[in-house]
Amino acid sequence: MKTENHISNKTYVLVWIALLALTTLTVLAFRVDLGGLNILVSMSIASIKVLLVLIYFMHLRHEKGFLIGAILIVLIIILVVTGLTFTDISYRRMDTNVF
Amino acid sequence: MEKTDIELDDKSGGKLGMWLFLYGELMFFTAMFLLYAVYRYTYSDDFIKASLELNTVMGTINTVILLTSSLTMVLSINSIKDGNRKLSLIYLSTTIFLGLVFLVNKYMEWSAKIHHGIYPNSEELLTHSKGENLFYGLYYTMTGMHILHIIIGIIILSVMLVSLYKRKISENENIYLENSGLFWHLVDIIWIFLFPLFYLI
Repeated sequence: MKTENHISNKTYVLVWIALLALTTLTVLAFRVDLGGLNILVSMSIASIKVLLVLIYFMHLRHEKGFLIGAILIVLIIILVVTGLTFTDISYRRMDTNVF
Repeated sequence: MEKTDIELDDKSGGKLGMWLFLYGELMFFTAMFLLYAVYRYTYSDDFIKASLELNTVMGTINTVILLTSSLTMVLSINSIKDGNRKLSLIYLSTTIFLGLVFLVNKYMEWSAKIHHGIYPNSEELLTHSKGENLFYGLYYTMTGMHILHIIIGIIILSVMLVSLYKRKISENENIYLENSGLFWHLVDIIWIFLFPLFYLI
């Protein structure tokens, strides 16, 4: 029984090209000074790249809902933990007694 | 009466173990990313200053290397699923090779920094500001843990290479290769976040 390739080589190469393009974009965006927006841009581009790797290279596109749900839960946990941490430290003086 | 063999072949379930492991590793790195976020928020100017000393070109080259290695990884899996063992071996060897190139690059980066006396708790670094010390502490820790994962990945992929060569991994039995690929992609994902956070501030 031959296992079917869900995702063709051609698609993989296209995803790779997209990843390289996004990398180029993120390096170029670094050279432009947008102030506070810089981190937002670089994190957004990085997130898109990660999503591309997850969906195409890691085959999430054709996985059962269970695995997709699981990774979503993990990502949500990460966002919540990060968010909650910032609700804490935003109101602390951190630059004393660090060491 | 004929005895029929029931083939138990759970494609998704066979990967579940690896996915669970990946979630754990993801959390592990998230903790460090969180630490980074907090200290960057506190010492933004110092972080920017320290980041300028990192070589952006090297970082970009490393990113391209890992992205390409992810490509060759999935091409290797596709090849063996098509029954093309030779091509799969070539792609898998390329993946391992690219991983080694990444390691060599990282070695050069680290040794350059260490040569300039910039490493955690060095005399030179302690004369710099708190923020810069934190930056480099995080840099060495996070890229260090990432390097460890690359090494583990290379070992796993090498074992897969031998299995593939010995035909233990084949057209119909290739879940081990897929799972190893998943691990390798995780290493790639972590670097995709590490790169802008340390090199492109």
